[in-house]
Formats: sequence, C-alpha cells, structure tokens
Amino acid sequence: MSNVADNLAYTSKAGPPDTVDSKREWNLIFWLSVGWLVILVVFILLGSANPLVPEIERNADLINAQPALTNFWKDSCDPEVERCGRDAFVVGGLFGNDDRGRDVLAITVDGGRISAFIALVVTAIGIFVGGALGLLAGYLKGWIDVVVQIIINVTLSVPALLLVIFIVVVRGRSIWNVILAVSLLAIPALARIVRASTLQVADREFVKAAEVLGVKKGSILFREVLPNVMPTMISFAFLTTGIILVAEGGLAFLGLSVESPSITWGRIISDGRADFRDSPWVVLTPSMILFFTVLSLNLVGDHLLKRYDVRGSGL
Amino acid sequence: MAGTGTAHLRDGDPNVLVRVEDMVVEFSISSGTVHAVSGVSFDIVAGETLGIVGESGCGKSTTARAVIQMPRPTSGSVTFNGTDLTQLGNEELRKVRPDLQMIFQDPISSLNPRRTVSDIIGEGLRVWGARGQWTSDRLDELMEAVGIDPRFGERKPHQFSGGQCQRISIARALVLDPKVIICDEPVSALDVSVQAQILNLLEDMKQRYGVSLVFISHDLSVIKNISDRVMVMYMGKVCEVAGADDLFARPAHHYTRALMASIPGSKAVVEASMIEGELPSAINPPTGCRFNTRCPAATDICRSEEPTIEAVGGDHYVACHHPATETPVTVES
Amino acid sequence: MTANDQPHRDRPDDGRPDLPNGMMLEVDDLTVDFDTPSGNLRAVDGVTLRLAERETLAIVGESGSGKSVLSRTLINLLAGNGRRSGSIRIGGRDIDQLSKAERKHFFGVEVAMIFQDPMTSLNPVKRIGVQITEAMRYHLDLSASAADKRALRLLELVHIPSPAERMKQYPHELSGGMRQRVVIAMALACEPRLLIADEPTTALDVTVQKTILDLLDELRQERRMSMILVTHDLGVAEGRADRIAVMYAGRIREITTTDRLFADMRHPYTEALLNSIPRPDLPSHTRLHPIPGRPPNLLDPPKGCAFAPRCRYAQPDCLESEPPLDGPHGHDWACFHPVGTPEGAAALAANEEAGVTAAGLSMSESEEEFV
Repeated sequence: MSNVADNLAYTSKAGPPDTVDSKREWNLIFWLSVGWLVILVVFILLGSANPLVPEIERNADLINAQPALTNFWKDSCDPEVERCGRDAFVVGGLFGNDDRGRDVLAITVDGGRISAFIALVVTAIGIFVGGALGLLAGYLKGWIDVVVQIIINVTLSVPALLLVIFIVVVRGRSIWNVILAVSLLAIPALARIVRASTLQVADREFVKAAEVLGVKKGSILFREVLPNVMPTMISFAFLTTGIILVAEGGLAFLGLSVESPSITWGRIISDGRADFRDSPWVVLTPSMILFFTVLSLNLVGDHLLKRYDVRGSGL
Repeated sequence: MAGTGTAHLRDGDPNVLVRVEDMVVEFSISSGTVHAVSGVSFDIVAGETLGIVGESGCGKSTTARAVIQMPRPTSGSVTFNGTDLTQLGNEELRKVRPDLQMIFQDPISSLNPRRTVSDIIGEGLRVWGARGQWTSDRLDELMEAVGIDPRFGERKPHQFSGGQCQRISIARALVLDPKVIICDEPVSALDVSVQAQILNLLEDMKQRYGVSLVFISHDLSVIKNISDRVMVMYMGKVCEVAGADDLFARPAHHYTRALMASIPGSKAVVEASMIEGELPSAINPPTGCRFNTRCPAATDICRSEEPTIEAVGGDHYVACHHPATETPVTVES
Repeated sequence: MTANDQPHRDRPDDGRPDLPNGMMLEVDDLTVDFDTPSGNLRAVDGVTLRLAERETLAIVGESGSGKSVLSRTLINLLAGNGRRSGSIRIGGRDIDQLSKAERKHFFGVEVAMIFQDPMTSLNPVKRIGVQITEAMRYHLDLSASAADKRALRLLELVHIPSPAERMKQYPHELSGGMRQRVVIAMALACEPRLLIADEPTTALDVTVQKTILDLLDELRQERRMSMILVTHDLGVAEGRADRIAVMYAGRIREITTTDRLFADMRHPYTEALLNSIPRPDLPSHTRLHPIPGRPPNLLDPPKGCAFAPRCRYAQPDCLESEPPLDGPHGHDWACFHPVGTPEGAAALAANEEAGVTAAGLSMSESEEEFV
C-alpha cells in the first residue's frame, strides 16, 4: 500500500480520520450493544425455564384467574383500589408487578418473545422477498426494474397505517396477520435499499469482467453481486428489526396488535399506561428494555455497515 | 454516411481477425441522443496492437467496448472469425466471449474484493472448464507469467498494490487463451514506474500468447510505445489511422498535430483555435467535419461536407479536406 | 489593497513589503508524521526548501513520495492525525507566529492552492459567480458590486469566454478545463503571492492541460507570483519549472535547476524514473526499464537510503546510513554513489560484476521476478 501517505493527506478534506482512540471507544459501544442483545436473546430463549422469575408469578393473573393467590401478596394487594402487586425495586421482584399482579420482568420477557418473533420473521421476510426484488431490479435492470420500482412506489405511497388497519380488521388480530401487515411495509423499504446497493455494485468493473468472461447472469448475481450486497443487507436487517419492534408498539397502542392473552412489549406498555401515575414501572420497564434493544440493534447495524462497507475495503 | 469510409481496411489481408464496419453507438438521455460513435470502421490483424487515442468523450472507449458487444452497437457490423457479432443472440454471444477479453482502467474496482485471487483468475476456467483443454496448472502458469507468486493465490485483492492488481486482471483476461484483449486505459491509474512494468508485461504476453490487443489511452507516449497501428478519434469519428512510428513522424490531421503539440515537454505551439474552441456537444455535433469548430485550417467545405478517409501515402490514412503535409511537428522530450 | 479593480496589472510597486532575502518560501527541516492504527508513519522527512519570488519549483514523485502531504502542509491542510515539526516561513512570516486574526486572512489569501480535481474545490449547488466572490468579500471586505466586477476580470484573465454568462452558471454546466480555470480564478481572487498547484492538470485532457499550464505560466509572470507545481509527470515539470525537486519516500533526493537535472542528473532514482517513462521521440515498442521492486513501507522504513533496495548502484554503505542532501552550485543530491561520477560508475561496475547489488537486487534485465 504505497499510497498510504497520500491517502492520509486527502483525509484532511473529509475531516479527521478515526484515530486509534476513537476506534477503541466505538468498539466498546459495539460490544456493549452485542452484549445486551445476547442477554436479551438468552432470556427470551430460556422462557419458562428462566430461574430469575418464579413460574407462579409469571402466570399469575391474580384478580381474574386465580383470586386465591391474591392473599399471597397481601402487603400490597388492595382490591379496593383495584391494584395488586408489589412496588418496583423491592426484594423479590426487581421490577414490581402490574395491576393484575403479574411480575413485570416476567411479562416483559414473555412479551419480548412475541415481539422478537414478529420482528425477526418480518425482517426475514423483508430480507428475502425485498432483497430478492432489489437484487433482480438492480442487476437485471430493464422491465424487471420498472415493475419492481412501480411496486415499491405504490406500496410506499399507500398510507401505512390504513394498510395495516385494513389487514388487521379484515383478517383479524393474530400474530400472523400482524406479521403480514408489517411485512408489506418492510418489503418495499428493504427492496429499495438493496436495489440501490446492487446498482452500485453492478456498476463496478468486476461485474463487467465476469460478463466478459461469459459467466451466466445468475452466477454473476450470486457469486459477484450478492456477496458485496450482503453486508448492507445484514446491517439493514439489524436496523429493520429495531424499527419493527417499535412499529409493533405503535400497533398495540391502536389496539391492532395481537389479541389477549398473548402479550407483546407494545401491549404491556399500552395496557400499563392507564396506571402510569401509580405504577410507572409497568410502562417504564418494558419501555427502557425496548429502548436499549432498539438502540443496540441500531448501533450494531451501523457498525457492521461501516465495517463492511465495500468502498472502505478498497485500498 | 460520409466522413468515415473504409479505405483503411485491409480486406486483402488473410490475417484480419476483427473487422468493424460503419459502427454507430448512440445512447438516449433525457436531453436527446448522444452520438458516442458515429460510423467508425477499422480492422485488427492477428497479433497486432491497435492503439486508439483521443481526448475524453471522443468515443474511444465505447468503440472498443462495442467490439465485444458491451454495449451492443446501434448499427454497423463487427465481424470476428467470419461471424457478425452484432447478429448473435445473447447465448451465442456468451459462447464467443472467451475469445474476446478485456482489461479495465481501475485495477481495484475490476477485482471482486470478496474473492481470492485464484478464484478471480480461475473464474473463466470454472465456467468454461467443460471444454477440457485447461488444467489447474494453468492458474499457476499464468500467475507466474504475470509476476504474481502463486503462493499468494488465497489472498484477497486488497492485500495487493495497484500494479499487482492490474497483473491479476491481465492473468484473468489471459486464462481462456483469448484472441483479442481490449485494454481500456490499463495504465492510467498507475504510477509511472509501475506503468512501465505493465506495458512491458503486456508486450511480453502478446508475444507469448499471440493475442491481439486493442489499447485505449489518452496518453500519446504510451500509445506510441505499445501500438503497431494507431487510430486517432475525435467526437465519435476516425481522424487518422497509421503505423505508430509513421503517425508520429508525419501527423496529417490537424487534430493529431494539436494532440502531439500538447505532449508535455513538446516545444510546439498549439494553435489558438484549439484553445479557444470548446469541445462541441455530442448530442448536437457540428455538421461537416466534426473538428471544424476548432481546426486552424477549416474552410467552408469543412463546415458543409464531411471528409472521407483517404490514403496519404503508404499505410497512412486521414479523414481531412486539407491534410497537413508540410513540416511535421517536432516531437521532443 | 487599493487596486481592487485591476487585479492583474503588473505591480512592481504594489505596496507589498519586499521579501527578506528575496525568498517567498523557506521550509526548514519539515517533518510530518501521521498517527495511524498500524503505527507512526513519517510521510515527510526533514525537507528543507527555498523558493524565490516568481520562481516555479516542481515537486516530482510517485504516490507515497510525500509530495502531496508536503504541499498540503504548506497551506495548513494537514489531516487531524498529522503532526508537523520544523518551520515554514511564507513571505518572511513564520506561519506558527501568526496571530489568530492574521491567520484568518493568510491561508487562501497569501498562499492559495489548486487541487487535481476541480470538483472538490467547487460547490456543485452554488453559481460560479457566488463562489468566486464569496472569498473576496470575506477576505478583502469588498462590496457585492465591487466583488462582481473583480470576478468578471478574473474570469477574463483565465481566458473564460463570455464570463458574464459563466458567472450565472453552475459548475456542472462547464467542461473540465473550464472548471479548472474557475478554480484557478478563485485561487487568484485574493492575489496570492504563492500558488501551490497539486497535479492541476492530471485529470484533464492533454490539449487542455497545455493551455492550463500556459495560463499558470502567464499569470505567474504577470503577478509576481511564486509557484509550487506538484506533479508525477516529469514532462510537465520539464516544460514548466525553473527548478525541480525529486521526492522519494518523504525526502527530497535531488534538487536543482530543470536544465541541469535533465542534462546532468545525479540521483539513481531520478535516472530510473526517467528511464521508466515511454517517450514520444523513441520508436514504437522501445523496451521500457521499470524500477524494480516496490516503494518502501513507510510504517517500517528500511535502514539507510530508502531507495537502496531498488537501486542498481547500491553499495553496502547505502544500507548503513542515509546519505545527506548536499552538492555544489545549487545542485543537491542525496547519494553516496551518484550517477555520472567516478563513484557511481565504480558502484555500477562492481554490481554488474557481481550480478547483484549490495541490497540483493538482481542486475539482469530480464527482471520479471515476483513483485
């Protein structure tokens, strides 16, 4: 790399480059984010086997289902004010109980399972369908590109909320309908990003070189283009997952997310806001967890985007 | 169409490998049609290096790429081995690809950053290996031939310098034993000392593998060094075709003369008309001779009638109503 | 400055202070280090330079030679992780001694720079006229109409046809050559006494290149301006510079007047560089002589002369210590066995005898070894 020195000089125009220190700092944040996501995944995977949350509390629907249990929490369960449960940050249940006496940590973990399931499935659908559309449109161009662009523009211009309300109202409130509704929003967005990235890669001369060698189009797409679009796709998958977690919360507020007794983060927050004054932790705990999760997803996605940027990997 | 002509084609020569006649390449853009190449004819004899020189926007790169049908010409014919490439369907054309290879300007961009060097060089073998005439030794042989240690085959392109990347590109182009290699400004992005290595390497490879080169450059000194025959282009038209030494000794087209006078270090004076005249638009090119707006010798006929290519002695052809035959430009360095 | 309306008059009495000992630029022992993730990188290593008024000095070198870093350092455009030591005096003023207020109107005014790619210096969404007048109004405190008038003259000065119309155009509406002329006009707007041109014509066609270089020459004469021309092209340097400095691996290896450099070069690198270039006066297919090997890794430079590993003259002493830059009659070179001297001839003969240089480089011309 003989031109290192000259390249360094050029950076003077683009602002100071990352020095050793700022890189290290950045890595720390990256690994913290990864750590948070790992903890979250472990909790969600453990599910009912989670040793931090006793089985009895996670299923307790103290008022409606098992009234006998209410006495168990007599220190704080007061049917007169229709509020049951412990306050937050007392021994025994770090994040307190909600109005039905359920342990907030437990339901947050439970809700996380469905939220994460929705987010991951939607992201997977978005990446596969949207990614395929974007790749084909960006590489083959021509009429395929025109068709895909029309699809993208039409779906993106239909008001998102109306579309979702329509689907959920017509087809009913189930996990799969929520996934369908959100996927319809994620696919065109991801298709557009992948298409832009594909256009950039397809323009590079190694793709031309493969054509000159007589490599078939499909082979070029998978061997030359896809590996270079992949990093962008993966990092956007992280960002998309975060966006969908938030979007699900929005749907829950509108009463369009999954039906009871299923819970998601959005539903916990939405259900808990009525008692926000008396028991803010019911809303705050899942909100904070949602916040850190989305932040972590964004940071990891961002970091990967920078790290594997094709332009950055040149000389 | 006038102005082009085919006087310089060597139809009597049995060794003609590629014959391009009256090739036109046009692109549609929002503000009209870009006339990138307007009726260019030339031929390539086996084992010959044809240099195409001209300034940016003259269509030299499009011309060379249109020979291998990337892009396909708007009209005209490209005959290779008796087949008109412009008439072939995509799959038939793909089968001819191994014979027509290309080396690109940017050594970094022309190599996939995510694949190893042996993967990159061996890609052609992977695709066409079924023909059965190549072995895996071919890879090692080629890497050695272009000066890349075969032990580095598992490395990725970013671990090599620009010059080395260009060597890898050359090996990739040679792996299928092509008949013609289009070299699109292959040394423009390189340092002068590396440029010399690549130019020497191309000469050696041409001798060793008997391949014909179409070498595109804006640098006249490079063109003279590598070419057997040189074609000077201006705004999608051929100005002058001649042997390399002949062209530099007796440039007949006023545009060629201006180019030569502009070589750094040359003491010759560039005519004021070259300096004042802006390059006309390729969407709406001048009538008559396209160079008339900047030519010091332009007269009325140049503005109304397009010149045809005619011999001005020996294997030297020029498309000009008033070819310069007086004192040659002194080229010194 | 009162001559605002006449920016391009020859000004023997422009009221500017005379330069101390006639030197426009004095650079002493300039060193530039970069802090990189892989360690310290010395891009410029102890450069000492003098540039007289109206003189053009060409700095020639390949990528990585430090020529661009040097030129950017002179105009205070060092990247954030770069450290400079050594002194730079421009027009007799030490740039480290400038007060904050003086600094504001020093770079871009007293010293200006032209970059290789005109689009990096031009803002694509602003009209040409606005871009030229902006700097003048800021630095020279001109009124809008005075600045406009002056911008018109500047565009005329750089031979841009119908300048009044061009003022209203955007950069993308101009050709590459015209853009570079605009950039030159912008650089000249505040009447710099020192112009640094970093590969000003590399991105341009040859005919345009010639006209731009002619223009710079003309302006330099007219405006009593000194110029540093950074280029990789010895041909460009030969035609345009009074003196040439050849750089390699951060150091000046040879510096002298242009005529003497080509007639009587001393440094083996200068010779090797010249031999590697295809020349229009030599017949077609003339075998070129590339410089063997690769430039040194500046993160881990070799001991002794940095060129020794690639040098056909290299002797054991070249690998031991760095030769000083010195010589008689304003011709300095940094070599123990210079070209065209008995020492050089003896070194070459000894290497040819052995078939290999002291650095282990093969002397055979069939050089195709792995690089």
